[in-house]
Amino acid sequence: MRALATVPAMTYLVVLMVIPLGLVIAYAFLTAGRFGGVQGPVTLDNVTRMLEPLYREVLASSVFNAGAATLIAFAIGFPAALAITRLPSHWQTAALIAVVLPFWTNFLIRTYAWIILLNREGLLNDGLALAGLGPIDFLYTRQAVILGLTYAYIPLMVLPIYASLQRLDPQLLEAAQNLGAGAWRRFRTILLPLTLPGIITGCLFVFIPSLGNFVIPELLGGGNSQMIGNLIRDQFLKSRDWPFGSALSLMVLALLIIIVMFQASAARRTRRWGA
Amino acid sequence: MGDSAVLLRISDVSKSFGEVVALDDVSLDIRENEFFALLGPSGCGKTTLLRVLAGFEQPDAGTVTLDGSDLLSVPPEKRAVNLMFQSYALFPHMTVAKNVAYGLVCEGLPRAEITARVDEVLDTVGLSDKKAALPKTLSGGQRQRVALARAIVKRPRLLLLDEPLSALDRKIRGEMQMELKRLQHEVGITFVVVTHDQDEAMSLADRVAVMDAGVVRQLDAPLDLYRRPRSVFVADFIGSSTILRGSYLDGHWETPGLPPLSVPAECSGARAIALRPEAISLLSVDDSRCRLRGTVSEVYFQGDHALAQVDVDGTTFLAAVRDDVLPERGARVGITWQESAIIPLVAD
Repeated sequence: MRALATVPAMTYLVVLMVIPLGLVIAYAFLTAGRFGGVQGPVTLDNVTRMLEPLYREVLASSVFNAGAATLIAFAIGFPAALAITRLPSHWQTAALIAVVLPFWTNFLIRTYAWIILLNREGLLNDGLALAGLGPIDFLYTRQAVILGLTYAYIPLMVLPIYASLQRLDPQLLEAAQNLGAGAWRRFRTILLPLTLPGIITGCLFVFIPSLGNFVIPELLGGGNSQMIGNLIRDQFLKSRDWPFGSALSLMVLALLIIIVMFQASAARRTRRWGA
Repeated sequence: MGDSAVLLRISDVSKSFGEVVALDDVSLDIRENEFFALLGPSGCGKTTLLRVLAGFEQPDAGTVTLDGSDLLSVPPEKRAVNLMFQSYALFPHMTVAKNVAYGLVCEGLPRAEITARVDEVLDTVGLSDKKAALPKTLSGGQRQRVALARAIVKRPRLLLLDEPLSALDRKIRGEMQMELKRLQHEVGITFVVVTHDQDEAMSLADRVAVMDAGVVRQLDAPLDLYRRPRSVFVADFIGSSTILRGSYLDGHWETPGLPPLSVPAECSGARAIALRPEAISLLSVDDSRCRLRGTVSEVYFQGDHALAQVDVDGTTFLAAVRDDVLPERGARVGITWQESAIIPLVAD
């Protein structure tokens, strides 16, 4: 009977996780078919090809973009979350709704809106023109990609940090202040370590989808800022090289697993402190 | 004690939160090396006053000076005032030693001095073997000692304690009470304890300020507070007593439902009179010394004595009984008292 109860969960796992993942792993070690698909023989070519400088560069650039977006999202998201916890409780709800509100509109439309803002003839350059400056090419730059990623995922930074801050006993900050700690020391020694689980979660929530994103680099980066997501998509849709696309996907997956394992060990450490 | 220098002077301090008046023109002097208690029911403003002293609230009006210089303009982290929180507020991610050292690290003291002072204070509170422990592994009493150590290691001019014993078991509470008193003598710091527990205030403090609705109702030594309460509120709040509202007329006290009672002349102008239970004696009902006669309605055994509730035509008198034989419920008894034991209460 007990075993029977796990059938739905097992089915879910097998159909949505094990089979697709198994296919990706298998494809990564096969040869590309002429019109897509895969064929024999088994080979390690795809793995060695990933190590070519061209692809290493794309990966490094993707990690840089995702990392920069994560850092900026933290730098903006943490103070924002802190400010929200200081609001009266009914305003907190309103502020949180405002944070997730962009998620209710279409992702593509939101990204197109940035094109309108950053364009050579866009609102930002219009503003600069009034001040007698510009025009500046904001669009189709690495900065635009980082901006787009930050904008897209910052709510995922704010929410877990907000949850962590909510659980923090405000008296701990008062105690630290009473013992002589100024604002910076209180942040560094109390606020930061005690909300670390939320911060790490928020960083992962921003970093992971940023790393694999291919829409924002395409729309805001133009051809100049290829990320690993674009590369993988091109393997499947343009080059018809499914095995190489699979190998790239596995590499991204491995990278993220390492990061998540690091996060789990950090979370374990904070759990020891108790409630 | 009487002539010691004033350490902290609170003058005409008021604070409101919206419509609620938390502090209404409070003035107090707290003396050097004194163990001072702010006693009152919850919501009386005592915690607000504590937070004003710690710097977490700014009063709407009034001044506070510490050692003669203005305290209110000093930011909380720069005040020579430390606070032991009711919840202790220990940093959960730091060991006992790190918690205690925190305030000294903030001061930027050399590491050797910090270690020496932390060791010394942990020794004083008897936690030398818990240096490396995390707060969550400690018992309630131990956590309290850490909180206390963390505050006194800074050697503040003034140590504020917010309901220091309320989170402890009854038995440990007694021990910690003695411990606090011992520590206060040992470290020579002025203690201000905020509590709603009269036993705590009365047994710990040299002087007690009884607060109600943002006002200091009475400020006295514990014994005087008990023997000479000046208001109905204080007589009612501190210890138990029989309170008779009424009015003075020609050496007598007129209370509805009772015959006129002979009282001293100092009762003229009083709002009520009070009698402590130990001032009232039970007599047999036919004793000629009886001032009043009534029925025992309830007997509360207290250990070394018992409290008997005597109903006299609808008015309840509370008498302490120390006899071996306790009166029975429903028995007819007489009661009497020394006239000099009557306490006039001049205010509500």
